[in-house]
Amino acid sequence: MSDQFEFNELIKSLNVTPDEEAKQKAKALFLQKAEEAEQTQTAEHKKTGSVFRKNRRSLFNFAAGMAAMLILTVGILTAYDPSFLTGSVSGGGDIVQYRMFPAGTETPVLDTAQKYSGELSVFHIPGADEDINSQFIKSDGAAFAEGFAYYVTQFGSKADTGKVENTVTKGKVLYVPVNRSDYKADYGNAVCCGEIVLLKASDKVLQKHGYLPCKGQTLNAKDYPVLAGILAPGAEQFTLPDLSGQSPVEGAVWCIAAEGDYPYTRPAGN
Amino acid sequence: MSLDPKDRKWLEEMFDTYYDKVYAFLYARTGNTALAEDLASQTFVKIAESYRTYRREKGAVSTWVFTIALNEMRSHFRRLKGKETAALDEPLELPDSVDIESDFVRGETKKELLSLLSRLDERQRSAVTLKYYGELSNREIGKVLAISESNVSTILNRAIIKLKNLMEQCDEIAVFAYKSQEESK
Repeated sequence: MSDQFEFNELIKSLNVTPDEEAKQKAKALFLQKAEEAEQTQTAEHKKTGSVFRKNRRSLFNFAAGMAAMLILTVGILTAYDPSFLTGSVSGGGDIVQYRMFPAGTETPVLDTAQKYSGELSVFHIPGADEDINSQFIKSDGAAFAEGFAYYVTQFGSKADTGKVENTVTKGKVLYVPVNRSDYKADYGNAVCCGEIVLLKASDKVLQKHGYLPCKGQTLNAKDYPVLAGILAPGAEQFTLPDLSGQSPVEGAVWCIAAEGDYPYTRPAGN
Repeated sequence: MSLDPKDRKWLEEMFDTYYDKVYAFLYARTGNTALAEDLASQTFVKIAESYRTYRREKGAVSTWVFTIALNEMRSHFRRLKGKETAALDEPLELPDSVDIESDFVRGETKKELLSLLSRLDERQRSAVTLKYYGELSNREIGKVLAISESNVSTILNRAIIKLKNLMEQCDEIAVFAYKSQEESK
C-alpha cells in the first residue's frame, strides 16, 4: 500500500502544466487549420458537383438499371417464398428506445446506434469514481435510482436537429424515440452491460435482445455473470432496482442491459 | 465557407479537454518543454486537418487523439535518429523562482523520474505515460497500442515493479553515497 502511495507520489511529482501562452497559440493554430480544412473540403465538393452534373445522364441510366434489377430480384424471391417481403417489413420497428438528452436540447434526429454528444446514459456508479472514463462524465443532476447515476457523453456523434414525432419531456429530461429492428445490448450498439435504458417492446423481444425489465427482482449471479460482476461482484445473488410504474412514457419500461461489455475498466482484483 | 459553429464548439471543447493531457504525456516522453509544446501543437494541427474523417464507431476521441500524438512523437524521433542524442539526455529546464532550494529538489525528482522512465522498454514507457499523464483507461491504452486490455494490465504491472526496483536501487546508492561522505569528514 505504502509502495503504491510512494509510486503515485513520484509519478505526480512530474506535475507538468503547459505554458498558457504556448497553449493559446496552439489553440489558435488548431482552429485556423480546421477552418482551412473546411474551406478545402468545400472547394472539393464544388468540383465533385460539377463532375456529377456532366455525367448526370449516365448516372441516371445506371440508377434506373439498378432499381429495375432490385424490383426483379424481390419479385422472384417473393414468388418462391411469399413471406420474404412481409417478413422483412414486419421485422422492422420491433423495439423502440427512448434516448435521453437534457430538457431544452434542440431535438436531435438520431439515425445511428452510436452515442451522441450530450446524450444522457444511466450507469451503475463504479465505486468512488466520479466519472466512468473520459467518454462518460457524471452529470451534476440528481441520482437516477440507488447505485445509479446519469452520465453525459462527451465526444459522441454529432446529431442533426429537426422535428421528431412523439418526443416526451418530463422533468429535466427530453426522451427521443428511435425505432430499431435489432438493438442488441452490446458495445457495438452503444449499450453497455449494466446500462439502464427506456424501451418499448414485448417481453419476448426484450429478452431476445438481452434486456431485463427493472422490477426489483432477485437474480442468480451464475445466470448473469457479467451483470453480477458490475452490480454485486462476488455475491451469489443480486437485485435489480424496482422501477416499475416509474416510466415517463406510456407503454415503455425501464430495462437493464444484461449483455455486452463493461462501460469502464474495473480496478484490478475487483 | 467557414466552420459550422457546432463543429467549432466541439473542436474547442476537445482541445480544452485533451491539450494538457497530451502535453503532459509528451513531456513525460521527451523531458523537454519546448519539444513537448511543438509536438502537442503538431498533434492538434493533424487533428484539425483530419477531424472530418473521425468516426466515433472506430474508437473514442481519446484513443484517436493519443494515437496521433504517439505517431507525431515517433516520427520526430525517426527524423532525428542519428542526428541528435535522445531528448531525455538533454538538461532539464528549471523554472525561475525565489525558493531555489525547493525548486532544486523538485528538479532533481523530475530528473530522477524521467531517468527511471527512460529505463523502461518502449511499450512499458508508452503504457505508463498514457496511463498516468494521458489519463487513459486500460481499454483505451489497448486501442492506442493495438494490444489487448489484459495485456495492458500485465505490461503496467511489470513496469511498476521495475520502476519500484529501480527506485530502491537509487535509494540504496544515495544512502551509500551519504554514508561515504559522512565517513570521509
